[in-house]
Amino acid sequence: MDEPINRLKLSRLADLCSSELVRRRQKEPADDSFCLEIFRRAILEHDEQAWFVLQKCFGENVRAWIHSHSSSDIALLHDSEENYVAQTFSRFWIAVHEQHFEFKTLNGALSYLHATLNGIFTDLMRAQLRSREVPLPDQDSPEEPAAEQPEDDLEVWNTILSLLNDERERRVAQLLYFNGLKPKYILERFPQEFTDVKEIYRVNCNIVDRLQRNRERLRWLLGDEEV
Amino acid sequence: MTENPHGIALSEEKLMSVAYGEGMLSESEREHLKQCALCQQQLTLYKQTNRLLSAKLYRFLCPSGVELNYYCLGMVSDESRIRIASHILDCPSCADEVVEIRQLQANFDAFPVTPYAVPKAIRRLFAEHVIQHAQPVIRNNAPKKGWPRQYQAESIGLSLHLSRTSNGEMMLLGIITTSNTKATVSAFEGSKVDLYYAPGPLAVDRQDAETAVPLLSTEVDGGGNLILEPVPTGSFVMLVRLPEQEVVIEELTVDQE
Repeated sequence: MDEPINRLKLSRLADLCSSELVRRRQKEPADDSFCLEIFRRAILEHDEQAWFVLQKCFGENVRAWIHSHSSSDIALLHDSEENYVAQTFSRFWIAVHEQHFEFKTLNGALSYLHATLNGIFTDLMRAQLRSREVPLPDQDSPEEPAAEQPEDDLEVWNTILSLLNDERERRVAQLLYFNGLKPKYILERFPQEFTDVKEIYRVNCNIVDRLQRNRERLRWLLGDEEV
Repeated sequence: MTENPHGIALSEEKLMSVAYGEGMLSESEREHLKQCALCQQQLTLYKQTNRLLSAKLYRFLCPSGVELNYYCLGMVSDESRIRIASHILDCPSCADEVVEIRQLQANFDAFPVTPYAVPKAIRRLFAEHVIQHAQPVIRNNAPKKGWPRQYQAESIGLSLHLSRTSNGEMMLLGIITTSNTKATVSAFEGSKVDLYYAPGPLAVDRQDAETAVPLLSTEVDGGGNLILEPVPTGSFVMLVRLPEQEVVIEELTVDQE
């Protein structure tokens, strides 16, 4: 080919990229430079058409990753394959724009795209575990916290920590509430830190009592209603 | 715990263990809890506080899943790398996720040839339990307990019967039908049917991983029939893996009667 790769028409580049991808899918040696040029134009030159071509060329890869992912069963109960593909490209776009990446290898670019999809699934699994452990309160439930939560997450956490007595209580609060672990599992996971599960229950009773005593300061967290 | 008229109150630790669903109360303790308003109030306080704290605080300072994946690839800024690395040291949940992510990334295949060779995605349908009009339905009658049961998932119907084998073991007999005039039940021949202990393979909790393995499996015959045996008592989830859709039957409870 005489023409330098960066001068090739996008349509020609797309054809060449597709042919090379067929080879790659058949596990044959392939020239990745055409595919990488599409990534370069889309990301570094902000070429919208190249971005469109990129999604068209690599959408099949994302679909294949979705279906070979261990969480695909659960994920597809929540949203469609098309939406996950769209989300993956959208998050990828934001990330590469922020970082101004120039990928040197196709495998590097696809690893990053794959990491984006896996991150979306990781977040979905977290949300699943959370909703399983913590059912949403009724809309008119009196338990619903009434006051406004501080905007800064770190401030929220520091307020709670400041009310706890010592490192032990802070550690138990972190493992129970922040990490969502159950007392028996905490003991199993950190046997060197606790004598028995009763100790975790006991420390947690103290935490609850202490926070309840300070409920005025924690109205955004514990609500207004007394039990 | 304050004094109360129903004997010795349960300790705070015991009540906290009940709040987490981990407590093993004796018969007399259970009886006490039923009667004692003070213990009940304390238990409610524990449950409510645990729930509110978890709802507000669960993983709320963790880096997002996407960020964690980029971190594992080594493709985050120096500032993010230091922040995430120091967070992982203190957060067992993120540390676990990092192990999983690194494993996945180590085995990454940009062009996988396996599972996604099938161009058509399989749809998953949750079958609805249908109360048959021929059965007498009275108020407060729990239809999920009676047999036979009829389930419907779009055009697919499944009638389930509980019977006994000659040696007294229980077996589930199923008949699949279709109301789609363009399809016949013979198309379902050879389709796999798996019976799992609930919550089954769709559950996400890792502690339920053992229920993701089928307890019993069989295949649909040319007439749309299936037999699963021996079926123990318990709660189950059934997956009927038809060529173009999977039909999920939940809340399948089998008891001795």
